Amino acid sequence: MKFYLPIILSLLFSSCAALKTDTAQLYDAYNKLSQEVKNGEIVLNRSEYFTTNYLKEVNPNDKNSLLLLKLSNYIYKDVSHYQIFNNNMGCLSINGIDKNNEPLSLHVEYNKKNDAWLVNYVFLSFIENRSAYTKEAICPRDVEKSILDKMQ
Amino acid sequence: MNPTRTELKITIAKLVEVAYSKDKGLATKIVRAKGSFKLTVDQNGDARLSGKMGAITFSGSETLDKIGANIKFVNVSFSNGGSSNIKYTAMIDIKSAKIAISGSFDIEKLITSCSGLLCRAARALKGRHHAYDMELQRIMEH
Repeated sequence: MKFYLPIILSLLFSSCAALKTDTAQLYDAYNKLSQEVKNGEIVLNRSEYFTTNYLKEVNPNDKNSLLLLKLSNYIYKDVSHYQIFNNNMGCLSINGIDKNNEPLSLHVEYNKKNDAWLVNYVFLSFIENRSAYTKEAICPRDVEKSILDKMQ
Repeated sequence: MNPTRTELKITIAKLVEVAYSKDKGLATKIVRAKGSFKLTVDQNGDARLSGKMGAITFSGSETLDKIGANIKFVNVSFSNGGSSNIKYTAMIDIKSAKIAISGSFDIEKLITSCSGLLCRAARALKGRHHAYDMELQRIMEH
């Protein structure tokens, strides 16, 4: 048993490491994007963070269209985050607070292209209290459908 | 600068106010009727306040242009449970992204604010009017 214990432990830790790497991918991509927005470089480097489809609505010469690139700015502080993956698609849900300490949830759909996770769709939800924070990753189109159904 | 939660709430109030200024009688009937009513603005800026008592069409372009975020569509669902407190959920479309916001406000206070001098002054100025915005903020974030 003594002989097998290091092997078992090593397998256990390596699988944990692999899991951590996988689940951190979207959150890491989000943090990198968020930092780029804060640094004021997002307009210049937008193609590194967003899909071509998402960028169709962005005109660098129209400052009103740049909100699409800067939605991460709404989150002043992260509280929790969740991620799900389906092949080359993934969704990240972030709960946080804005600058006025009010809660919000950001749901981001990512597409994987050339090993980079690119934002393809976003749903930002200004919620009324923290009890409404999402407790799992939900893709933005599913959040949208659920709200539209309630609005009918 | 991204439009804030407060600015988006004020925009919803202003759209209701524009409908009210176009047809005070019908708008009052729509918002006071128990049940639900809707407010929509399409990609051309054509707005519509509708409920079981009827509908009012008006232009929402000027109101949306003021928040300057290329908002394409707005869809707001209001629910009147029978008191003056109205709950709402709004979905704002900026194409590749959507923003949802919900809350509640006192419709009587909104109507009162917009029949007063403050509201007329704001309309006359056709631009941002700080005191009017503050009054709407107080109502929407009571």
